[in-house]
Formats: sequence, C-alpha cells, structure tokens
Amino acid sequence: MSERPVHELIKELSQVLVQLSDKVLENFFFSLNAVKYRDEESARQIRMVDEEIDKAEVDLEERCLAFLALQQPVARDLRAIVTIMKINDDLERIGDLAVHIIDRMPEISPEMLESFAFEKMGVHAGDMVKQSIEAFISKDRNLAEEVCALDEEVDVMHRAAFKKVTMLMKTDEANVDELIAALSISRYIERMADHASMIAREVIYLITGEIVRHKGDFYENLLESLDE
Amino acid sequence: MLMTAEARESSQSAPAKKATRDIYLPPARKEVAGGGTAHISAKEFSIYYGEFEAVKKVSADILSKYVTAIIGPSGCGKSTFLRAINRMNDLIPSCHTTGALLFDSEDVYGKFTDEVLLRKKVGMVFQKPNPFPKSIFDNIAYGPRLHGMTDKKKLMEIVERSLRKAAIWDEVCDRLDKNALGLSGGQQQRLCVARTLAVEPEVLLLDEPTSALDPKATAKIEDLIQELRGSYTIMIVTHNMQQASRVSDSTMFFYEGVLVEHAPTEHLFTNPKDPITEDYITGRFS
Repeated sequence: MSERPVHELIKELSQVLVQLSDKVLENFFFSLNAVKYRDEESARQIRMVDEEIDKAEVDLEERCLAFLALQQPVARDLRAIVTIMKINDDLERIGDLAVHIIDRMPEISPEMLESFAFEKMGVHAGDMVKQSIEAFISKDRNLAEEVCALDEEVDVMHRAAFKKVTMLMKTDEANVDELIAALSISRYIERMADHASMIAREVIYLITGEIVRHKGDFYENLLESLDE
Repeated sequence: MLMTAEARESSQSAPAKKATRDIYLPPARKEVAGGGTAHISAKEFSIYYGEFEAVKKVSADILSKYVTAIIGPSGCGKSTFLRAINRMNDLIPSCHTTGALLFDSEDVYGKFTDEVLLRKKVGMVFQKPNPFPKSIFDNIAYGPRLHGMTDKKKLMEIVERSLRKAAIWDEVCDRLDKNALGLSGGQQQRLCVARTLAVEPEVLLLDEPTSALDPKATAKIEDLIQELRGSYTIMIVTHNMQQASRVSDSTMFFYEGVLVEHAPTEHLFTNPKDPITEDYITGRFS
C-alpha cells in the first residue's frame, strides 16, 4: 500500500529534523575546535550557523503546528509530530550550547583546556545525540534506552571536572575566571548529553506512547551526584 | 423496569440492582454524579440479518451519564449495534439476536420487555432531522401526549424545559405555533433532540446526528451533547473522528462486526492498543 500524502509529509518533516541535527552536531564540534585553537573566524561562522539553526527551528515548528491544525493527526501520527517538535526544541538548545562554548573562548587558555578531557567528553555527548537521532529514524527502543544509560558516563566526567576546578581554586595561583570558564564548558557538554537523553526519551514515547521523562533513577542519580 | 405491567405483577423477584462492576472511568474529563456504573451492558451480543452476522459477540459496558462514541468504517455494524439498544431493528423481519443486551440490568430482548417503555427511556435522534409536519409546540408535546398527558399548563412546561435543554428555546420561543419544517436543518435537529428529551429518557442514541449539518450547526449539536452529558447516557455513532474525540468520554471501534477496541477516548486517539484501530484512525486502511 502506497503512503498517503499526509504520511509522506510526516516523513518529510522527520527528514528536515534529521538534517537539522546534522547541522547542530557539526556546529557543536566546530565550537570545541574553535575554543581549542582560539579560532576567531570559526567562532564568527559558528554564530552565523546558530542563527540559521534558530530560523530552521522556528520554520520546522511552524510546519508542525500547521500540520496539527490542518491534518488533526491521532495515534502514532500525533506522537510523531509531537516528538518532532520536542526534538526540534532540544536541537535548538544544543545549538545555543555551541555558542555558549565559544563565548568562553576569551576567558580560557588552550593549556587550561588541554588539562581537561573536554574533547573526549564532547565526542561522547555528540555520539549520544547521533544515536538518539538514529533511534528516532529507525524507531529503535533499545538504542534509545542505551542512550539514556550513556548519560551517566558524561555525568561522571562532569563531576570529575567539577572536583578538579574546586581543587585548583583552593591553590594560591588559581585564575578563578579561567576555572569558572572551564567549569562552564564542562557544564555545557553535560547539558548536551542531557538533551540527547531527552531526545531518546521522546523517541521511547514515539514508539510506546508512554512518557518516561520522569521515570527511573535518572534525576535521583543526578541529584545524588551533585550532593557528593 | 422494562417489563409490561402484566409481567411485572407476575414477577415476584426483587428489583434488579444496578451493575456496579469494576470498570474504567474516563480519567481526564470531569467526573459526573452517578457516572461510573454500567447503564447498558452487552454480553456476547450478536445481531444477525438472516444468516449474516452483522455484530459479532460484542461484550461491553456503556457507562451511565457519560458520552460513548462508536466509530468504524461503513458496514462495520456500529449503527446496527446502536439501533439494537432501543430495538429499532425489530422492524427488520430477518433481524435476530443472540447473547444478552442489558439496560439497567434488564434484558432488552427479554420475553416481557415493553418496547414502548424501552423507547421512552432510550430516545433516538437520526442522521437527517425528521420533525413532524406540525407546529414546534406539537412536535415536542407529541410524546408526552402519547403517554397520556393532557394538562395544557404541564405540557407548556415540558415544551419549554425540553427546548431549553436542547438549547433552542431562545430561537423559537416566539413562534411555537409555527410549522417545525420552517426551521433550519440545525434547528430541526435540535428540535428532534428536544422532542426526545420531552419524554424524559435516560439514554440518548445519536446516529450520525450532524452528518447533514453545516459546521456551525454541528458545533451547536456538539455543545449540546456536552451540556447533556452528566444528565443522560449518550451514545453517538459518527464517521467524523474529530467529533468523536471532541465530544466523547469513551470510544468503541467496530470493524467487520467485531468490537475491536473500547477505551477512554483520549487513550484510543493517542495510543490505541490494537493495530487495526491505529490503522483506521490514522487513515492507513487499504
């Protein structure tokens, strides 16, 4: 049976979302590189791309709203559109994180950056976003659950960065501004992993119809980790 | 009590209790007083036209004072099931039933059931408005008069109350003596609802009540259903799934005579359990 135009449209909106995710991820990795090499030209381009991401996010949201109003979808079609809208929002916020990272560029030296494992942390968080989008494309619940589980590893890396910053701050030669910038970058990458985890949870909703956002020990673990 | 007076006298049994089975309540919508009990229950209920089994062993509870929508493709048995509740199918000679259909715990197809009393308690509104070619007043007073009401003052009270309940009083109060056929289609349909309400039914069966109406008149009927919800048990057959999702608390999906799924409306339209339901409501039927 051939797809009806309404279902073709859902596929098209899904493709637009996947393309947006590619752009967001690329910009995020560029931002980590730009900070590493203090590349002002790349930083300028990252800001321009983020503006494009913002416009694309609004455009996709408007198309989803028009779809809701005109097609009045139900069941899996409704869940697909709601999921696209939510992931769209997550991607836009990941896009903002890339800009936040380059905002810290003047405050942190390449040497200080080198002393933290931000590249590894960034690759890990980036992989989580990639996998969550793959789970969305293939409607793969197991993969989505794996992404949620991976979040803890990034949290561990963030906690390590937090401990390191607090330790260095207690020394006499501490450059507090630089250390706060390092902690902020760690926090931005950790937030990106959180968004990947949210996307994965939204994919689980798309597949099962069950909202799992506040289920499990995800938030409890996070709160406990902050107490430690 | 649906039995004839004669049968009632001969019956020594205690009055039947209302069914209070442990059944779901629609979760999100406002609770209604007296709701939550099964007003109508089908148990392995089948309807045949001759050899053809149009409704196949349906088991379901219809909650008192809630709105239940019935959806499904043409020929799936939804109207047949609805019409069975006040025995409209009796007019079709080849039509017969098996299993049980209970109204207030009494068998609708019982040997001693009084069809006239049943149809007083279970009113019906059809796809096309069908007012009598009489005055607006006489249309509403027709049922009460048929049941022996002659007091003009009381009849006037019933007419006004029924027209108010059907949200049409303000539009017709100054022309009650005019012919009902002069009303618009939407007004005629609300008049038919008022005519049904005049005999104080417990259940309202609506068989595609808005399919012949424009969007404005449709909206008025839908608003009216919401107004009447909580006072009457309402069942509506509709081809318009958005209408089913807007007005009903629970929805039954029929396919090829089988009740495929019966669930709270918001569940059925966001996360149906049966793939056939999902394919139908998302338009994926081949």
